[in-house]
Amino acid sequence: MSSALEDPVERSPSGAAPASPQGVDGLPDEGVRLVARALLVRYPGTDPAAPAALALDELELAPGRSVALVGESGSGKTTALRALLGVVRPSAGTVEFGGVALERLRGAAARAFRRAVQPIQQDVDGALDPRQSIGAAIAEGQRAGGGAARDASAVVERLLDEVGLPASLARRHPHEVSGGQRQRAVIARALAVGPSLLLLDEPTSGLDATVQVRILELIERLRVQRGLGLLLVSHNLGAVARLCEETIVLYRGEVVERGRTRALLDAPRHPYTAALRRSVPEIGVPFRAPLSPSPNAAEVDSRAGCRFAARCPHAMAPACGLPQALMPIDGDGTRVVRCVRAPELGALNPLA
Amino acid sequence: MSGSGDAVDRAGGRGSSSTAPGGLGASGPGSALGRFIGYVVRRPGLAFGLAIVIVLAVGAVLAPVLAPFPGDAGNDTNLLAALQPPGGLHPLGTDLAGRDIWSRVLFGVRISVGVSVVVIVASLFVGVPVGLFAGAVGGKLDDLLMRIVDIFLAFPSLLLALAIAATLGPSMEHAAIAIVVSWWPWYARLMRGEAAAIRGRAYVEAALLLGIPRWRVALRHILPNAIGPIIVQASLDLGGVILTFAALSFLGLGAQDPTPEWGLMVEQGRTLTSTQPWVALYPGAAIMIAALAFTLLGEGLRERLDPKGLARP
Amino acid sequence: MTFDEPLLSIRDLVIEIRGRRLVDVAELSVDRGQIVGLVGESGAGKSLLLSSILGLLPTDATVRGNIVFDGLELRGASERLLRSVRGRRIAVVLQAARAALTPTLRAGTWIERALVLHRVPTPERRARIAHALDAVRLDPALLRRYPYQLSGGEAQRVAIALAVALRAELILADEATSALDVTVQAEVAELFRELRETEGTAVLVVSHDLALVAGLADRIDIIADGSIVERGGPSVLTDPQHRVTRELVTANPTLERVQETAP
Repeated sequence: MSSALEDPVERSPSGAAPASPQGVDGLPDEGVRLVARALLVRYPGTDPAAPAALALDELELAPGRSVALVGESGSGKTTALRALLGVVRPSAGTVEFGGVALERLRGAAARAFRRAVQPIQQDVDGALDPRQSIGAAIAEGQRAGGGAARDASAVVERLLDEVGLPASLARRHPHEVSGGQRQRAVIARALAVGPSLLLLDEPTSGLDATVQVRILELIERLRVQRGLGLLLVSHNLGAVARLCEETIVLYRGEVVERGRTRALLDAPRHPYTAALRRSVPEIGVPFRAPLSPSPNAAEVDSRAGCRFAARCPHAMAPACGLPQALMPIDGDGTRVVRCVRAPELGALNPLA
Repeated sequence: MSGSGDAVDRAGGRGSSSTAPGGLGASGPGSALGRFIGYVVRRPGLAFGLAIVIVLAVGAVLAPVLAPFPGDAGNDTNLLAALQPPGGLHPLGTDLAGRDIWSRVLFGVRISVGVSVVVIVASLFVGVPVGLFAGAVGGKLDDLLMRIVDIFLAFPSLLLALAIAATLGPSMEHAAIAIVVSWWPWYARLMRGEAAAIRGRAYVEAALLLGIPRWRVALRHILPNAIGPIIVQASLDLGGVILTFAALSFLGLGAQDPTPEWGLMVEQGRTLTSTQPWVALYPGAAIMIAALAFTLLGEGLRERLDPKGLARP
Repeated sequence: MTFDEPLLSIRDLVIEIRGRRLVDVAELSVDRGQIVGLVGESGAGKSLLLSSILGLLPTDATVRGNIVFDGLELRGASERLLRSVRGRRIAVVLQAARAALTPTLRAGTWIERALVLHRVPTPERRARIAHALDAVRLDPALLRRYPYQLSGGEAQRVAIALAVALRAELILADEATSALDVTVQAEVAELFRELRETEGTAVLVVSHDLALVAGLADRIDIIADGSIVERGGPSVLTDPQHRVTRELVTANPTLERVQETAP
């Protein structure tokens, strides 16, 4: 973890239980809003002239909203999630919780932030302390959320049930249970603190297919029952389609397309989104070979212009070599695309 | 040639409580005690070390009862029986003051081993918090602390101990202090390394993101996971401290007469090795056996607790 | 050694470790130029099966049965025989592509050394490498890179290029695409299909990704608890008979089905 994380949590002088509701019973606060604006993240030591690791124009999370950040390695999606958690310090732009920039949160406000916004990390095997029993881990979350020690075991039992784990698992240690059970335990711990927003980083990677489905079902159920807001970082389009209303597609640190999930996946407007959609293998659907880059692709200046040009089947010089802006498309106001050729290309059928 | 999660990892929520391969221990049939005995028996070195340590423990506790001449470990002298060879009343002979060597060796266990334990514990008390703090916090504070530790580490430990004992005056307490001063930086460094490695783990970050204050995360998550190699090193060091303490006493900078400290006893028999060798031999053998036993015990612990071999050899 | 017989024929293979029977396969074969998919969940025994083909099982494992490759019995064969087969006639592509390459060698050097090790005559080497790069569509410039400078997909291509340069007849792909981005995965899958046409290479694809195998393989074998429970062409997945197959199929979050439940 980068030492950029200033510990924003300070104990109040009285150390008394705060006014916010205890973990499990707490309902999400309507006022919970996590907003990133004009976010720019560069990793320390990188060339300032080179493209940033992440450039995100705007992202807002609130209870009830579910947003997906889709992209492959190097897309910046995990960086975005970590910036929203305050683990990574942006080089420019802001991340605000309840209207206050994260680095300015102190005391009770900082605690409220940590309780309201919980991550589910990608590393399933490392996310739990190997020396701590699962029940103790969940109880730790409950206490961190302001719960009383005497209520701990009842809360643990309730949460285990909520995530579909047998109560006997409370005594077990992480290495004694399966990967799927570990992931559920991690979710239970996150829920114990009473969050309104869950930020999930590839929550199903490394798990068997049947297990993945169950975990997704669980997340969906929790989202509905608790009214949670979700940020799902994933390259798994199936998970995205299932859980998120809105999808943001990232490629090499840039937003290339964004809009309502179903529309975006059915009729992508950006060639990368189409390539992504096309690459996802599906049962009963004949194999779709990836499309080759266009013959002109090599001539396009991808440093100044479109970063996907070198792989794009529709790349054309010089238009694609110019800086590309996010433009609204399709008229309904929710879809934007970063592709100068998008209007003329029309809806790209990924299945062709 | 295995794939991603090809370790036994079955679907969760299917009702079956299947388990993944465990961490350290072999889970076989039989009781915990049975497994422990089986474990020890397969390792002759560990078995020997453990046996000797048990004998030493018994000796330390029961010294007043087992020693034929308990007073000889104190102020009693018996010049008429000076320098008796082993045999009869005195199984290991007598020293220059007529004191029974066997009794003195027996009482010496308390001193040598007792002081060593105290020294190790004290060194841990200083070194572990410093290392934990530096490792958990990182950054410039970490650098600063480690530079200070480096300064201490730069001194050859025995010389440092000598200097301190010489300055403060010879006594057991001063020798112990001297050893602690030269010993704690090793633990600090070792702890700092472990803590720094664990600081980056996902569960540490998760705890911080739950809102748990950093100090509590350090104590509850970093310390327990980091302490393994340090425990191993400490148990190995027990043997080393016994030797160092004996060395200081031998040089006159540690225990003083009539304390039955083994190193001191060796010194007292130093000039007599050709004519009355038993005076130095038996205390010397005791030093060697005790140091060996603890070292073997430590090695056995290392195999269990620190399989990566991070502790200093 | 006729061309009618399968290239690889496994019969009555039983693998036990410490008294536990982990693999029990009555029959599994791969024909020349065929792509066979072996699908199952973790712990089903797929990797053990692959390891047994090349005699790379842990020392406390017992193996019974026949593993016949081009008329040669591999099970229990001498190290010498196995070594002549490993890499050269049966190539392996693993999940951690970069880890399979020697970190201190440039990719090109690594391929060269392997060719030398397998006694490919000097005049032929250059030609073989050039041909392999072409077949695999690997940019020759990448050969100058060290493994850490290669992306997962590029490293995977290097490993496959070696298999082509050695003229391997069978590639064992053990979760070869699991760690790759989905677009890169599609490219590697396409590559396997092309190799079948151009080089006649057979591939045994081991994966937990049912959909991937569905699009790629001529025949799919479903393995569970060490045994093959169902087998067939792609229709096995659109119309599964066995319980395990059905579970795997329903577990596959295809986009078409899922769209119905999306918000």
